[in-house]
Amino acid sequence: MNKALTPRPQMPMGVLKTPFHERMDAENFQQSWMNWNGYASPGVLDTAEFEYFAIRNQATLFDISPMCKFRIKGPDAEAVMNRMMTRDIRKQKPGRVSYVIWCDEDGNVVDDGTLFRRSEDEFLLFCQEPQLLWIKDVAWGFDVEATEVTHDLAGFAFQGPTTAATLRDLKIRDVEEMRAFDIRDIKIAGKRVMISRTGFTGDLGYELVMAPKDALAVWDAVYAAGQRRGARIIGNEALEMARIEAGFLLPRVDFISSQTNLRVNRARTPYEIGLDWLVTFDKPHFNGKRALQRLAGVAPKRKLFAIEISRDKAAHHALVYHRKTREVGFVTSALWSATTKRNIAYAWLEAPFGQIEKDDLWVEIYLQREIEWQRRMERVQIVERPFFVHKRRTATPPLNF
Amino acid sequence: MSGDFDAIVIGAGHNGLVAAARLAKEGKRVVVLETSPVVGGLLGGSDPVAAMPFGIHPKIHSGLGLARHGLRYGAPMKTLSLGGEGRVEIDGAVARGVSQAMAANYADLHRKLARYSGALARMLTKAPPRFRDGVVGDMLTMAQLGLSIRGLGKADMRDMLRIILSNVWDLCEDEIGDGPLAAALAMDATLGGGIGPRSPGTVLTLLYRMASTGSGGAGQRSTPVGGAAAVVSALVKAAETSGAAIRTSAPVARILVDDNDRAIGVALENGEEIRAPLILSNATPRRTLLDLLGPQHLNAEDVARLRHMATNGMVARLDLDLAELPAGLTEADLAHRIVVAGDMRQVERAFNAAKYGELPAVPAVEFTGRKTENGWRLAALAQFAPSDLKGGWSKAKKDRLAKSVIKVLDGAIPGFGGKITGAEVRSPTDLEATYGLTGGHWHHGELRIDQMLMMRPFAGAAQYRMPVAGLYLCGAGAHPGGDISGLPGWNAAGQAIKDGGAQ
Amino acid sequence: MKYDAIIVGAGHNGLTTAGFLARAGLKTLVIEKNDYVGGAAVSRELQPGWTYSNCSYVCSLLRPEIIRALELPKYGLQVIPYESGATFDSKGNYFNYSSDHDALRRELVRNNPEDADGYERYSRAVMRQCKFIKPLLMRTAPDPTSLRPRDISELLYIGKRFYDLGEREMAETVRFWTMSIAEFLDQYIKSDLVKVHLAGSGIIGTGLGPYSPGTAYVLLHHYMGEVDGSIGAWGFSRGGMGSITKAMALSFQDAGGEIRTGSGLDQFIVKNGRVVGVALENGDEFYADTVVSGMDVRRTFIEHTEEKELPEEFVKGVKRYRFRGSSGKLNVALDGMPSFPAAPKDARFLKGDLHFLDGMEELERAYDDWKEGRWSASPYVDFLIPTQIDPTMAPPDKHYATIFVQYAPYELANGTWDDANREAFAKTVIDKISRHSPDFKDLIVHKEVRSPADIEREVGLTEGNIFQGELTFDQLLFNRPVPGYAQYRSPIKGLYMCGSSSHPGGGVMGAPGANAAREVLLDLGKKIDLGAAA
Repeated sequence: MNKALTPRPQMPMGVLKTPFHERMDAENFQQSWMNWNGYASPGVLDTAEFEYFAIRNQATLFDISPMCKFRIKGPDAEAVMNRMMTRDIRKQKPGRVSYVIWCDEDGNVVDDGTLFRRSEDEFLLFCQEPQLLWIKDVAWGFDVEATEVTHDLAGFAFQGPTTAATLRDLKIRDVEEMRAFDIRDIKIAGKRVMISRTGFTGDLGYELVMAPKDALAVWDAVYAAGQRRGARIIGNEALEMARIEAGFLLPRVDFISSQTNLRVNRARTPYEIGLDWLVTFDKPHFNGKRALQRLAGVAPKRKLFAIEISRDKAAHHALVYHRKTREVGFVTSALWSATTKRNIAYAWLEAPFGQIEKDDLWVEIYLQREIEWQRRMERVQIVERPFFVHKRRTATPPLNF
Repeated sequence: MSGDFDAIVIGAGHNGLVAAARLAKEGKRVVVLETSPVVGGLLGGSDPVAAMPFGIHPKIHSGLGLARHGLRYGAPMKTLSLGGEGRVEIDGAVARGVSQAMAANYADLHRKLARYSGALARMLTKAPPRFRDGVVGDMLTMAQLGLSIRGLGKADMRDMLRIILSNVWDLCEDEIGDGPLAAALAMDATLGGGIGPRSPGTVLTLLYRMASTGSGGAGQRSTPVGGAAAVVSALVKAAETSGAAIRTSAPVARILVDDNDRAIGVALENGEEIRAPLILSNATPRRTLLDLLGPQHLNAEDVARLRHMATNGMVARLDLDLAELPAGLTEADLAHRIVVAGDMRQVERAFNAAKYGELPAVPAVEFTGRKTENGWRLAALAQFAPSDLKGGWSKAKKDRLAKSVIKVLDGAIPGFGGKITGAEVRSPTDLEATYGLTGGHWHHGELRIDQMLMMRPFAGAAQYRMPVAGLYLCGAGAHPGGDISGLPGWNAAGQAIKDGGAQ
Repeated sequence: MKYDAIIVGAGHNGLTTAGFLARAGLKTLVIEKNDYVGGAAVSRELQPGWTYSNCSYVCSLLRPEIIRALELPKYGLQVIPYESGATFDSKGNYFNYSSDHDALRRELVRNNPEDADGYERYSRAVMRQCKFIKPLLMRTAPDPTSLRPRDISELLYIGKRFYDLGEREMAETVRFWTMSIAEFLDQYIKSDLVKVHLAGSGIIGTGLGPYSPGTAYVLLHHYMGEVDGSIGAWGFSRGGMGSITKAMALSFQDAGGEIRTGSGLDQFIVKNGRVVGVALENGDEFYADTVVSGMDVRRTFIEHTEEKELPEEFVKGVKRYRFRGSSGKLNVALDGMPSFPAAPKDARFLKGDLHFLDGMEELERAYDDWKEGRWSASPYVDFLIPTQIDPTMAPPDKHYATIFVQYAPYELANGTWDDANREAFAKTVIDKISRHSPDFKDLIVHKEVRSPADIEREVGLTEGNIFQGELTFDQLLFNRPVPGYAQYRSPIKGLYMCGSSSHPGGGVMGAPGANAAREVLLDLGKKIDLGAAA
């Protein structure tokens, strides 16, 4: 045994701090933190409602550094991404982002994410669940290198109606031409930043990605410039409200990845989740294609629906009934939408409910009133997703407010 | 669908030939494409790798009229097991050279194993069932297996369900004790695989081998008159008289797939394309799907299953030339399959080294022999000689193996070593290079419960149909697997015909 | 003296059966050969001030249904989970298994970037199998050759559960039940150090190596336990493993049961094919129409039953049943906490299970030694110092180390398990640990060394097999211990088996004991609710 052995420290437990931690900590009056992929991510900084209204009225900064990020680079990068995703990636030009899902061999959704095409032979994939092994499995036999860059890239979402004006103040000329899903390489505070016109809020907004060492300089510049236009830092709770309104789904909340489900029958197909618009068969073989082709023609056994509920109490964790008696589904995400003044939710309903049988559906809501619980049955209406998207999200050039 | 042919068979190994013959007999226009200049695969050439006695399954023998094409069998070949305590002759259920009590116990054991393998045998001649959505035919197949095991009676059924997943070591220890007799059974249970006699599952491989090679009754392996060449010739005749074309020196480079996800033909290495709506591949699963078809046509999960398939070949083939027979070996002896392992412990020890990618100091050997112009030539199989040998196979390693094999034989047959005039070793990697055998594995993949039946080559692809429509697997990588039964080829052709070639 | 039921052997299974029978109103007697109860779940003070868990040493498998039904917490049982562990290699590196998900991911990535994802897949695969097998533990295995309605309905129950898994998961199940742990792990994990850390559970207590088919199941057997619903978690029993059996004994006595220690069984008394009582070595005789043996199947029927009372096939089956002890144990009183230079001071994982291996090959070679009748030159050890968490087992600042050793043969090829060999065996183990903990040797105040032969002699486990018989498929489910006798009944009327030789097998689980109690009561026209959790 080597006497001069220096002990190797244990890997740290719990959450780590992202490059933006100091800044968020200074504004985090509630000291509410969540564990997002091993990093401390703010839940609420002061008040969820005010943070939410900042998304719809001003500008907001939300730290997305903990998101899983992967770089796929090499001569076969396009072939591998096209083989993994259900969309036709050959049509995605360098400098563009697309919202993508990918499936397992049975056509069940593994995860969703945003795919950044950096060049002919390089992609960045941002998503919720760790996917390195999955990407490597898909890439086996192809000339491509896949690496996890989660810890090598910092980033924040800059979302809200005054974001474009703030970027103009920062002399970012690219803002004028950037359409939704465009990527540009710019400089802020002299640091290189990848900016994309993307987001999770259904509103005008951008996502900025940079090297961790440059992170604070960029954040500080944007935050300072944004002060004139009401910029503030937000946490997960506010973002959650905006994302439900905007019609986005969250893995582990609205559906479960077919790579993590313990019970075999919990995996879900794009047809069940309502993401069939992301599946195209007019391309070479991709993972799950044969299963999806079989599934495309048949009515799903269950489906995720956007629903609207009578009165104003959010239907968290509620069961859905037909004729108030037969249990036919359950709610995954629920919200009293302050902007649209609608009581909205996503719910899984067993066939034929929601698909053919759309009437006489009810949710069972439990309300706690000073300790005591009350049970309410509220009427359910099947509606379309999204509940809210503002025109300013895609208007080019973007408006100032 | 129009094309040059109705079916293409990739590879003229015995399974490819059986498949071609069956397809041709059913009126399909068939072409067989073989990489090498000779047909027969492991049965081909003057000193074929598969030199041991074997039998094409009776169902195929009669189905293809192989008797008409000149295939005859001699009497079942007896086994001679040497080394250790002595010399035991095994003739079916009869063991000579052991105590009366042991002979009686062995007879009981043999009869018992014959009954159990008989119950399994029904599973071999059809596609394995699928476990999904209660398909009636598949449920029926399962029910039949259940009934045939039940048909053994309560005592046998209990015993079979107890031993089926256990090891040949324990079985022999319980029934006959260790020694040359047990060594012969241990060789039967392990030869060709990456398993030692103590490995659980070796009773099943033994039963399986008995069930699939029973040309002369369960486990009774007969030598075809004229040897391997006679089998190849009969199969070629069966195929050709029904109109199948056989092209040698025609290596397939890849399998062609159209925009509708159907296999439509093959491209040869010289660029020539041949089209047919049915493609049957006698190549290994990995070679067929990862090399010829390509991972781009497969789901990542299936690629992973193929990558993890156990295909580590463990047998080396030796050709030994002798000017004359040593004193301890007679011409009459050479009418036997001769096992030189001594006892199960030796076989297990030979396996120990192989687990770590090393060569055993004392390999376990079996051989047959024939007379040549200049003397005698012995075809020996030595285990365990891992294809993933640490540092790779080299001339020096082969010499070392040859030396240790000769030493083993010399120990059991006095005077043997002095008679050797030449030795040639073919390692598993040589087999891979010559025959395209993944890992040099005889059976195209380990024969173990997790790679058998509906899991051969992997779950979801076990009914000969590969993920791309029109492509079938007809080699030992498909159910029921290795040895020279011809059943994978026969069953695969049956499945292709049933599917009609135009799903 | 006449009782309603007599239990032979005060191990955890015997006491479980006894507890249920007493609570069902039966006048029940437990006899035990040793002066103390507990069998292989004992805490003994061999060195003043130190309490050893002499045989079994960690707890996970004990069914919560039993803890609840026998009210064991009321009688002093407290199981405390431990949170992590580590495997040290010889080059100064270690793999730290942490119960903190984030730390574990970081550690896996450190070993190989793909292993964090691979581990998630592996652990899902294991969890799925645990979910499948868990409901089978507290049920009697059906006889597939039988046409009795109960057997058929149980077979259909298992068949349906299997079918409901779907084609892919069914294949996975077959693979899991038959593959080697090495190949099973190869599918998921790349780092050899991570693999060997996980593989230990696949070989503990068994006469198979990690490359042997069937060891993935052995791993599952160690994972199907739980501590407070946390599946696969292991914990310490406060006060040592003896606290479990002590609580069981108290619970049993509170329910009116009687325990007699200090004299073992001489013979079951059988009249006209029916058991009527037991004769002890000290000459005492006790009578009951129901006698339940907690001893393993060979001791029960070969050593303590007259062969003429048993059918020939059954005797053959019992004689054939395989024990093949493969484990040894060291219990060590330490003058202080040993240091591990490769680990940071006060590393949390030192509170968990520690191992010292470079990779799978070393583990398999340890098995090769055993096959040849030698203890492993470089054995697998499961090393824990429970006194870092449990304050009751050693004086303050002193420690107790429990060291489980795999492999040690029951019969040595050269010699017997005499004092010299026992000492040489201990030296092999201590030297190995000392390579990673230089001060360990000097801290030893007292040690107890147990070879498989010692375990047999003291505890009564034949050939020292800790599971009362190998966990191979030919000895599982309806094959355990003997086909046709896997439902706790023996060929002799009124004589039952409740030890780990019966389904579902070994470990301090209590399931065989509870299942046996159910069968006994069923035959007496009584039904009990074992409180089987959903």
